[in-house]
Amino acid sequence: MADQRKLLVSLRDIEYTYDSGKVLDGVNLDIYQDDYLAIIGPNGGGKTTLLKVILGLLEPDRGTVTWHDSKTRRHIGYVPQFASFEREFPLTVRDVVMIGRMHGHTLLQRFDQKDVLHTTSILEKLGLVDIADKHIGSLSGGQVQRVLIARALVSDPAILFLDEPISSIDQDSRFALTGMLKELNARIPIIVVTHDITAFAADVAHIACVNNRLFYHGDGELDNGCMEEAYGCPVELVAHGMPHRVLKQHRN
Amino acid sequence: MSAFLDAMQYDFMQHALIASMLAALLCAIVGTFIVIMRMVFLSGGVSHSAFAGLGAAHYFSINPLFGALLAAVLVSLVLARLIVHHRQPPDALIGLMWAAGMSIGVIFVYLTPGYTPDLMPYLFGNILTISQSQLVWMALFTLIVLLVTGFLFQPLVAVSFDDEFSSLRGLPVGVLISVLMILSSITIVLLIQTVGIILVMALMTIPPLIGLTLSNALRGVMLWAFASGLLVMVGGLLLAFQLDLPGGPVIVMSGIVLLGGVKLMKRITSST
Repeated sequence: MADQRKLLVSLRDIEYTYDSGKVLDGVNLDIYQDDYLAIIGPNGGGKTTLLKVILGLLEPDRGTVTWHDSKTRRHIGYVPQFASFEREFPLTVRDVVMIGRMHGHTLLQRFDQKDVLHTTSILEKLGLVDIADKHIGSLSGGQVQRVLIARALVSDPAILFLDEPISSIDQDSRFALTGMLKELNARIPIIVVTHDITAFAADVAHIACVNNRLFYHGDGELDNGCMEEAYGCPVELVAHGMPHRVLKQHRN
Repeated sequence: MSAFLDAMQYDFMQHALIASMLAALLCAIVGTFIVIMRMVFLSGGVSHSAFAGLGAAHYFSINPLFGALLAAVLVSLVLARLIVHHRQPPDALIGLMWAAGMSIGVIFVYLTPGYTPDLMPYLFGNILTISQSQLVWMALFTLIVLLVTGFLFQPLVAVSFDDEFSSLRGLPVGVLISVLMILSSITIVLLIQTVGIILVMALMTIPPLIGLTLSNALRGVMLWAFASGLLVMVGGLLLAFQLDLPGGPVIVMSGIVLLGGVKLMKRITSST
């Protein structure tokens, strides 16, 4: 079936090698306008590398990344992994979130009233107002995660990438986060890297399984074959208490 | 107080006092960036490779300040490239540049005809021998550093905090990191005159570390770094004058004592 939706990004034959070895090999992937894509796979399988290649933060050794829409490309929202920055850095929550309001073409401009107001409204939305003046080093894992999401959202992104957004947060925050992402997905495409698909399984439209190669890029249904191939051993797919069953029944 | 007034009767002490203020200002701003970006070792590499330029400037009899600046800026641009492409430049390479810079410098100084090599002032600095023209250059470069960091403050903070996110926001990460590295090399070369190559890293790191102990916000860190830098520089200078000891080492040791005291106080107040 030909896909009529607007294609945003195409990856073709991506290969990426670290000193320790090849981590992406012959990866093809398409991202569409209204996508909600989960990139899953084992640790060290190349999920984060794939994300950084899509974002242009890493240059692939082979293959091409094509952004079909330059406007989307200029308005990327990115939520990096929780542990990816220096928590001792002397910045407050508001300082960090405001960084999301910066643009390359307004390098010498100060933040204006609009930036401040918009930042405040996002802080309110994510329940961060009370801790806006706290040092980022004093926050809990869930709070840091929300700060990183706020920083991505203040820029009014046209597409949102999240790298392991639920790895360090409690159950309640998980529900709040996945609910918010689902709501956002009504307007913009979302790509989430996770090693834990269960939290997202009910919402995502597509799942890509990455373990050096991209094993499956399907329409939300995932079968054991793909998982076994990707993880290199039998995997049990369990999806508890979901409104729709997105994972196929596993065979006994 | 009377010791201070006595000391201030001398021209060289007045020069030293002004140099101390400029140095405190530079340490507070540029040093803070270096410390929070964990580039202390890297700036050590830059300061030691500046010695190659100092030596060469002597040999070709040009102003040593420019020789040192040229060498430091060149090295820091190479390092900026490495940072952009590999995140952290290999520390073996920095170590190598460190040794090469010193060796080249010593060889040049040795080869300079009719010049008796005395390396001590370069290694440990002598804030009491700063001339008026050196002071003017120092003030000029300090002004440049202040203007550039003033105009680019937010982008520089963004890049030093998270370069990947900044590049996705369209910020010219490579350019900003190069700017930061050039500012550091200017600062390092200016500070070499006051405390010398070996102690410059201490001066670049102690005031920001005191600032980081006392404040969680960048501006607060820089303000505390400036205040403590000034205290340490002027206090250390007067102490050295009183005790008839070399300025650089006394300044650095007073800084370390102050840092220790501040850390201890913080620990006591936060545990009660």
